[in-house]
Amino acid sequence: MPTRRRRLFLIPVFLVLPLLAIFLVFYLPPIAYTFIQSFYKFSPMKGIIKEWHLGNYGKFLTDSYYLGILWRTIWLSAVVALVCLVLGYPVAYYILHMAGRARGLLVLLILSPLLVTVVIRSLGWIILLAPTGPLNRAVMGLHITSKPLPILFQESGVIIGLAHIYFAFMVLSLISSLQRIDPSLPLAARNLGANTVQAFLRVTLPLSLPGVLAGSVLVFVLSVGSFVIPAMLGGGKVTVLTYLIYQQYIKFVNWPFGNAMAFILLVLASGIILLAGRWLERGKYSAVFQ
Amino acid sequence: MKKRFGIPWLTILAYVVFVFTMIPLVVVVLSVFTTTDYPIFPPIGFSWKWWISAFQNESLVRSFSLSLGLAAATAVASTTLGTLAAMAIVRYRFIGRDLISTFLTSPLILPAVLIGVGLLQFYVLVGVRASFYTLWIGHIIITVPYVMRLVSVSLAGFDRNLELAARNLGASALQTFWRITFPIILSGIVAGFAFAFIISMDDVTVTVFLTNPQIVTLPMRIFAQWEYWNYPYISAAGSWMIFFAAIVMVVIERTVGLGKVFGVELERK
Repeated sequence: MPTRRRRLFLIPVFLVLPLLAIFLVFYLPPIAYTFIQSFYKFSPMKGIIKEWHLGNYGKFLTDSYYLGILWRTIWLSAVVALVCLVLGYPVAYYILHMAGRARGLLVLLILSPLLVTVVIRSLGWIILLAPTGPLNRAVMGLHITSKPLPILFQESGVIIGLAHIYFAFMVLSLISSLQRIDPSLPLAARNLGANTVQAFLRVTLPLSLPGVLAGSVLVFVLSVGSFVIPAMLGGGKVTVLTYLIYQQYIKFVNWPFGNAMAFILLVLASGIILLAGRWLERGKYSAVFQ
Repeated sequence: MKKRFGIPWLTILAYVVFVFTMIPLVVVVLSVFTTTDYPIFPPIGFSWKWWISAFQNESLVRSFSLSLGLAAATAVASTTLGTLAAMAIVRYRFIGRDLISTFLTSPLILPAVLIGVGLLQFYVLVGVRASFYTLWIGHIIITVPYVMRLVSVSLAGFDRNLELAARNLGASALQTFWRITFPIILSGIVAGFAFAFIISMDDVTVTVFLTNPQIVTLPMRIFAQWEYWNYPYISAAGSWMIFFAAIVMVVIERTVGLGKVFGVELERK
């Protein structure tokens, strides 16, 4: 009996060990090492100096240039979350009230672009928003403006691109929350004399708030951490935190400073998650994207 | 339910949004047919020359096959390791189970940039040069949490009496796994495989820190080149990936259903 019990104990260990080993070698030490290095000094002449100081964090949090980039990252992401919410809510609501087959098809069509790499979707937006692209030719052809609209390589272009890729996540989050509302509740409100708008505003909307919050937090966090869209649609002119980190590594080789910024990014993202955490629903959907 | 919806603007909005989600992809594919030296939509003239020049471009073809190979290797490794780990975590109680579970799925919450720079510095520290395998490790780390979550979901909704019945009827533990457990959680495994494949094929944010000029995945090549040589053959290479994603989508839809992968119930209740 004792051998049998020991064997039973060993089964989960054998199952989890291969993956755990990879993570303990290639995941935990790199992140820990990055954190340690974020306190090291750097000089352009001598490279990385192994002396501890808080200067990298201090430099970022006191310099108005870096704070400006941090602020831009935050508000860009907040606008993206808002755009996704405003566009996504009616769509999620509409999808839920469609008949079975049509509903499946529409969800499929909204989800399918998620399978295509972000780089290619950015390429599509660059062609669309270019000064000689279809949008600007249409706008100028209609004599709305005489000059091409400044969208590409501007913040508005980045917002469009980010909203495009994260829109589906918002819709998913809203659907899973709207789905959980008992359909008899808005009907009861109607029976008690409320009109459609009142029933929606006083019953459905408040009950869907967890989904609204979950979706907004998800889109915000994803936007804060996004790199390809700001890099391509910003054309190097819309610097956000991820792009700044990339520059530190590729151009300036000041790795300790880049590390400090990567951890500031982590604090920003996880801070928002923790703040919203208590309201974040743990439904089916959160099983896939946390 | 049908006629409750007397609000045409909601229908209009839904279709506007649909066009919004699809248009960049359509534009990329159609712009390849242009006769000009730069991608433009609508294309000027009609020719197949950029499709042909993309196929003749050795570095693009090499990048595409590298991307496919890397995505396949990543999906195989992640699905195998992730499924085993998910089984241990859902099925057994052991010391540190919650901690290990959180640890193994934490790359989902970490900004991808941090994982990329961490691995880069780690490889430099231990003196490993960038190669297919160093990139592979990075891709396993970012894809394994998706596999674990998808497999865990299918394991959680599983009636364990089925396994007990099989054991009572004389099946061995291994037989029970292959004939009972595996077929039932297969949808989760397939979904995990597809997700791992697509995410690996997509990734730039981690890859950008781990490549060298010899190992350039297709999205990485497009990302690095479009600014300087934005010829329509870049869009052609992008179109290959769109077609490939479409195939994967059809496979998922036919096997498990795309909605299920994303955790949305599509059937009418």
